[in-house]
Amino acid sequence: MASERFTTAFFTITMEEAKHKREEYVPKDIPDYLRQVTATGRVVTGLSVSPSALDSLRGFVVTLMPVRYNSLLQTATYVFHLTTTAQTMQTCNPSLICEVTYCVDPLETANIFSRNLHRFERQLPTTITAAETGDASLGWQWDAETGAFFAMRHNVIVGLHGTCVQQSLGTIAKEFVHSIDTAKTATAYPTQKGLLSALPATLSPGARADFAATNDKFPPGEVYFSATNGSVNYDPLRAEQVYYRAGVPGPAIITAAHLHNGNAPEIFSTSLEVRA
Amino acid sequence: MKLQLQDITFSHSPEDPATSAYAIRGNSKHEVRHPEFVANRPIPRLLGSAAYSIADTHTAAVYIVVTFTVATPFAKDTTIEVQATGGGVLGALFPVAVTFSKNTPTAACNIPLSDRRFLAVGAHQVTWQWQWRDSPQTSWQPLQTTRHHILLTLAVPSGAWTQQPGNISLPWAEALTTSCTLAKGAQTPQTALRAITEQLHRRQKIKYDISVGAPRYGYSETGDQFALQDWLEYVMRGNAPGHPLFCDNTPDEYPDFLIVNGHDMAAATVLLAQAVGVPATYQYHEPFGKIGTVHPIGRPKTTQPFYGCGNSKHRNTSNSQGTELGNHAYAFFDDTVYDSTFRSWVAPLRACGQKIWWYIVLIVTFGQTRLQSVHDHAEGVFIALPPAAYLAAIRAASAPSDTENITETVAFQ
Repeated sequence: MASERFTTAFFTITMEEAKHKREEYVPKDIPDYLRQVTATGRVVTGLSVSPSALDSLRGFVVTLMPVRYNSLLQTATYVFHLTTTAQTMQTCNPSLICEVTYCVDPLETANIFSRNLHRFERQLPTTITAAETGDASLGWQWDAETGAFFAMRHNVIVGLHGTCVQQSLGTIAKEFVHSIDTAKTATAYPTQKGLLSALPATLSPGARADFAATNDKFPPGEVYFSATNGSVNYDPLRAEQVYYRAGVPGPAIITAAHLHNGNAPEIFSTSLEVRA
Repeated sequence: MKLQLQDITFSHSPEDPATSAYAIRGNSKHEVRHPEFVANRPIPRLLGSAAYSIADTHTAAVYIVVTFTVATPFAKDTTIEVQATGGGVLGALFPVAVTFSKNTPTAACNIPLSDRRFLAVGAHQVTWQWQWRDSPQTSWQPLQTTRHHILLTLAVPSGAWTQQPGNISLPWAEALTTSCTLAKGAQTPQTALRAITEQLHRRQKIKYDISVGAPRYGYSETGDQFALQDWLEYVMRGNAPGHPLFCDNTPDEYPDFLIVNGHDMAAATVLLAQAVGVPATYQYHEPFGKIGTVHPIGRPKTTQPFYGCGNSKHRNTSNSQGTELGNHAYAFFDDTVYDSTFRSWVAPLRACGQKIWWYIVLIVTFGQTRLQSVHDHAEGVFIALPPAAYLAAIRAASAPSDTENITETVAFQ
């Protein structure tokens, strides 16, 4: 089942066209190994993945980059930059980028995982390791200093690419996967209206509906909104005021993702009807 | 009589870009205000912007809707006249009659932009000095001064941008301002895309990822999302965070958010081109092959772009795996390639000779003939090249020529 979803990959233009495009796109040269990969269809809940908790990454200085929520792919990504201040005998300084991506739709995890094959402009080496880490993994070494490793487990994708890292990227990935395995899983994110509960069931085209979405629990930089019709906007004169602007007549699904400190995203969702 | 100009609406009929400014929003988080100008209610400049399509308004009767108020309503129907001087590209506003109905404190009127000069792409700050008078027999009196941020694009933005009301992908004034500034003065899609491609490539602040060619702004393939808001803030406005650092503790150390790959550059080029009305598309090309001697964006000449941190002395030799471009992306328009990531290295003497030839022709023809292809050869830019010519120019002679795979046209947000 999941491999079927996998081969009808992931390519979309807009939110509205996403389903149509997904059915017609044929993915490029995906290795046979990946064609066999099936997503478990489960999401981890309540997990906080952080490289600073891993034994193999002790001694690294961890910097968390701004989080990114991709409303088309429905993914939440935390990027951690790791460097070390320790003096080494190596000719270059160890540097590692760790990405932890949570896929809201668990069945899309394999699709999104396979994108990593086309992500770097540098030609991939002829040897690609498909180790059995998590549900699927890929790794390669461009040269003695530079390599990359990706692993997926349930709906979480861990990406590692770095230079001059003495630890094996595969070993680090295994540690990530182990921490994911300790988390509880479910078949879908438990969504609730939550901070979107103030939105009405119907709105006129172009109408504005205010809701207070930013407070101590949900600072502006941690909440990401998307809407299938219309848009969620911030009031330029009152930074804490968020509102939904209705689009064209028809249904609208409004989603909010709360991302914080490496945690699995908290998803809020509601639907309404835009009615002329 | 205490007369006041209350508001000005530029996008009064956004579904009709021939007579009205088209629909835009401010950026990813903010809408623009409607009406765009409201007296005594200042907002950030961008959120009061208005954008016009040069192609759509070319022969049309463009107008704005202006509302006036009086402190004390008139006891009978009363007509006054208003006009405005200045206006820049919007032009001066010729006298029009404004009629206040009996006992009504407000009156709206349509004022044609008869003196407009919508000739070329640009972002303009314009000022109108408004005046009024009781009747043609009396003299003009000053009323108000209003300032406006006006964006002129070749056409209504297309591709990734939409005109669907309320949509997050309505053209962003912030992106339009950037595009219109880069393509300032362009009157054709080709010149606009040329300017955007060349200026993005010449931006000294951004540098190619010499390690693995990884994207920083999220877009590689269809369905993904280019982080345009971050790109505008970090790359175009220069507000990139100082940390983390790419190539930490090496001579190539640099803020990571100013490191890019070809996917980032192509996505930015296409989005900004589409914003000014150029229907360029994003082309993902795989496999790409070994390239010749090029300048990756922000980097010195090299025969292989992945020479690694602190290894610049080896940038023209490499025996490690994966020194070729596995894939690449660029903008495509009018069956030609516009690559803002790479520029061909041209021997200085040859470049000098070509530039001299270009100047001679320019002078002899009194500025009438600009040998663009000679100029491009001298600069080494990959602009407006047919795909075969582009591949011949960028690839090393030994590169395979039968394996390219140009994907379908794609768009993105």
